[in-house]
Amino acid sequence: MTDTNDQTEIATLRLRLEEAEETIRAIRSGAVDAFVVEVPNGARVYTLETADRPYRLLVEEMQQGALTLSDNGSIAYCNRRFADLVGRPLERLMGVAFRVFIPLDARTDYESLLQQGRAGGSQGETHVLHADGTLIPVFLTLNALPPDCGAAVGLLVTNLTTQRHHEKLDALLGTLKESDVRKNEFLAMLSHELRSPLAPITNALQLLVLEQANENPTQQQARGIIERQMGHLQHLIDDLLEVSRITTGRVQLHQERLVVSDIVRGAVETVRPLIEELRHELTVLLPSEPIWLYADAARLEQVLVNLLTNAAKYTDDGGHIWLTVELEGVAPVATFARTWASPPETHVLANVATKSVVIRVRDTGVGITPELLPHIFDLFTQAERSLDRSQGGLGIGLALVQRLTELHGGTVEVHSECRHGSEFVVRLPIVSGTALAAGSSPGTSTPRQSTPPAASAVPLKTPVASAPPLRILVVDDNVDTAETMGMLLHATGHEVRTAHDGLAALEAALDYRPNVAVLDIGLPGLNGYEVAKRIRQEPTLKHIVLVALTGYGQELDRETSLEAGFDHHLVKPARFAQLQQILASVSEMVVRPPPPIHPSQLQSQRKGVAP
Amino acid sequence: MKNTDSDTTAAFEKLVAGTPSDEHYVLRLYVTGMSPRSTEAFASIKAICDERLQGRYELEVIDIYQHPQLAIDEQIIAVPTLVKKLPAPLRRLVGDLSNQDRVLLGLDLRRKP
Repeated sequence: MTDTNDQTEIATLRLRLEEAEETIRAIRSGAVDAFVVEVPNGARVYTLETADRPYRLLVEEMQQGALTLSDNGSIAYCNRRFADLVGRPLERLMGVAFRVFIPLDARTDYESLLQQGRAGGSQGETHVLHADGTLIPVFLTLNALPPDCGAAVGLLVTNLTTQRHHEKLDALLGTLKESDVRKNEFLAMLSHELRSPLAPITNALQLLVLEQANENPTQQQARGIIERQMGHLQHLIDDLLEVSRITTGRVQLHQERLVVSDIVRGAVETVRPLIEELRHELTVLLPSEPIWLYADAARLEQVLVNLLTNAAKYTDDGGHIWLTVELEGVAPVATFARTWASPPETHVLANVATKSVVIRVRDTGVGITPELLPHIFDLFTQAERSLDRSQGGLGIGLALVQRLTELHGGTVEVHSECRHGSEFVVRLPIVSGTALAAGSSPGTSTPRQSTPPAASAVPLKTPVASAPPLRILVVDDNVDTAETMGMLLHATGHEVRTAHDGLAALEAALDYRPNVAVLDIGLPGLNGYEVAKRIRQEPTLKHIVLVALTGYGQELDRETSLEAGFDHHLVKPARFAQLQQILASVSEMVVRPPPPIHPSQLQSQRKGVAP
Repeated sequence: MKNTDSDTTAAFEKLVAGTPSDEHYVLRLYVTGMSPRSTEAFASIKAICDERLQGRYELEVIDIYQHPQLAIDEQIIAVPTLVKKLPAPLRRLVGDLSNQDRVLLGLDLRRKP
């Protein structure tokens, strides 16, 4: 046993000896970085140059000024970065009191920072003076150093110039965003306000149209001009409204089951006058089978109208435009990758589920320059157009096309080569018949007036339907709007009374007992909703058909007006034809109570309606 | 006393026989911050550990600037030093640790033939 112990001890001692020899060898050959020495109050590390270098480099290259200050606040060491910051030669900085770089009015603060730094640590913002006289904003971090360091305080100087710059930019960005919001609000308000005078002008113009048989050539020419320019003005205001809807994200869809080709026909009818005027050839290719979509008819038509109008406008007279509709079986990328690995049946199924309809609008026009191409779907982007073709517009058509397509779950892309025409490709998901049944919109008892697409720019037409005379109450606080509407209705054979505020409207309803009341919502005293509610509460007035005529066209406004008891909701400027249709349906249903129709009214009706 | 005796014997026998392949290693590397020698030493030891001691080692790296007292406690004189705390016996390797053969020898991990 003892023998074994001895042997173990010998082995251990041998190891220790080997270690000691190794250590000496390593030190001799310079293979170590530092020594650790035990001193009375702990340990001390003596570093050799090799180990020190990285720290030196770090301190010299760092983005901050690094210094050590002696007990009296003079510079014991500083890196080149600080010398650059104050614009002085490095060699001249040793021994200089740091306070000389601090502006006079900030020196007291600096002295107290230094004092706190000596005591342990401190930090604060101040400025340092550059040799060229500029003041540089800086952040100082001071730390007390151990007693044996040869300096009292370590000091870091961080240049805040860039940070201040970023702060300024941030503030500027904030201001810009705010003014953008205000601009959007202004646009929304402006377009709303512009529609108010448009209503009586439209009505008055409609009156002139009804009387056109009696006009002389000058009047006819003048009316023609007003009619065309009104159409243009209305188009611009509609565009403005669309801009504010887009920028505030208030575009809403009223989706229903529909056949693509119906939409295409509608769009083509709308742009046909423009295409014929410019002598373009339009080729429309539709698939033989009907393709069903779940979409907003008016909005989808607007997409196609915008694309076709663009194609017509940016193609020299006598060009060619193609509109093709076809089914495409390409699945979205993720599904596609999966179906490759799947058995054939799955592949087919996946394709059926993700089939889309592709609508292409191609032209032989001027094309789009490469610079413009990336921005073609941005708001307010417009290509240069020749002066003779100054059709105006606000540059929102394609932005709207993209927004509306995306709202329908589709995509739009563009291919174009300058001078060689453009092709816009709209892809929309089609939905299978069973899926549609559940999703299609319920009750259609209330005729929905779609938010005005380009169709509202179509010149005013003589009313289509003739209606047996009705008694109509027209209420609008804009006297001109009420009066012109009254004149127009009177000219088409109806009996009319007008009122300009809520209470007067209620009195007139009780006194006059109209068949139909057309009510503005924003009325002084009692608003349109209140008037409607009170009329509905009055048993003797329960048969009145209530029509809201308002500048507010949002879904919520519709709901509110239906809740208040309105039967119909029209958005200003309502086309007279829309009101005519409502009146016609009322005439069919209402068995008119006495008094009987006055012969003079019958006459004026015939005169107005039969052209 | 008997226990201690047999432990020592076992340690000796291990010393003679070499290290079985399932033994757990506890290593400490003392370095001076980020000097090139320190980073080389760490890289070399980490490589050896990952290759030969996978799943059965602990490696601590101690910067003597940050913890000088630890170096004193472990009787470190010069840095870099690698200390093999387990398995016994305790060993210290000083100096150039980028030489893998030297480290393998020091850790009783002679290269497989």
